[in-house]
Amino acid sequence: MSAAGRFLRNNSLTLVFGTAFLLALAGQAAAGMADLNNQLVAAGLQPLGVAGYLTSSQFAVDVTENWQSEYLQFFLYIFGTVWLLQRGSPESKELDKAGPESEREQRIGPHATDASPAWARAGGARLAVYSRSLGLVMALFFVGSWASQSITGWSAYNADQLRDLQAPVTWGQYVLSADFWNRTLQNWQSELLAIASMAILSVYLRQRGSPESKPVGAAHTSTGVEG
Amino acid sequence: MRCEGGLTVRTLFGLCITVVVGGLAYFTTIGLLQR
Repeated sequence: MSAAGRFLRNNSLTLVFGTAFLLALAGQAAAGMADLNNQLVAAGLQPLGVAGYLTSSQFAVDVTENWQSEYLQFFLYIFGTVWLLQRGSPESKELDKAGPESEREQRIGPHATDASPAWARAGGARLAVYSRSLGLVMALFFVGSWASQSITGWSAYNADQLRDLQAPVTWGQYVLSADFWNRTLQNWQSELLAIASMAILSVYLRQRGSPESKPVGAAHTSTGVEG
Repeated sequence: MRCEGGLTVRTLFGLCITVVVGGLAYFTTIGLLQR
């Protein structure tokens, strides 16, 4: 296999989902523009072009409200699964391993090897940060996306208010508004349902070959075993 | 973890962070400019 072919195979999970993300975002932009233009024309206003829609707060809020909930999902899953267990689920740790685990299990401190990342060998503050870096980055992306949703949603909401000859609101009023919390919670509920479903359905159901599933022949009671 | 074209796993990692951070900066700027 050529070097390029090997690279594509070795990174196919990231490359396929990254490409699918771009295609879906393009599709969302096309459908979102058509939807907004239907509303603008119905209100007797000029429809937007592609550049106008891609730089509109309506497009921005529709993207950021979904981003924040996805990163919240991963942040909660990464942090929650340190302590929370589900007997029989490959998504859960074994039942006696709740918590941050020992230095030996985590291969840090005196148990770090030459192959360990530099910050895992370092100790002190660098180790403390690196030990939580995956969850922290997900949390930062969540907070950033949610803050962005609040600003883009505020802008889009005020555009609607002005179109309806209503007074615009302040950012503080917007983050307490029904519009902001409806956009937020409708995304959160679906992510939380998906997490709970994955945790419990994977106890009894299998997907042969998937690391998200237990091996097909594994017992329903075996916990923390990936396929 | 490098192939002949020079694209590495580290590049993909950086690309992911850039897409999210860049996207958030872009969308937030739109929101601030149009408020």
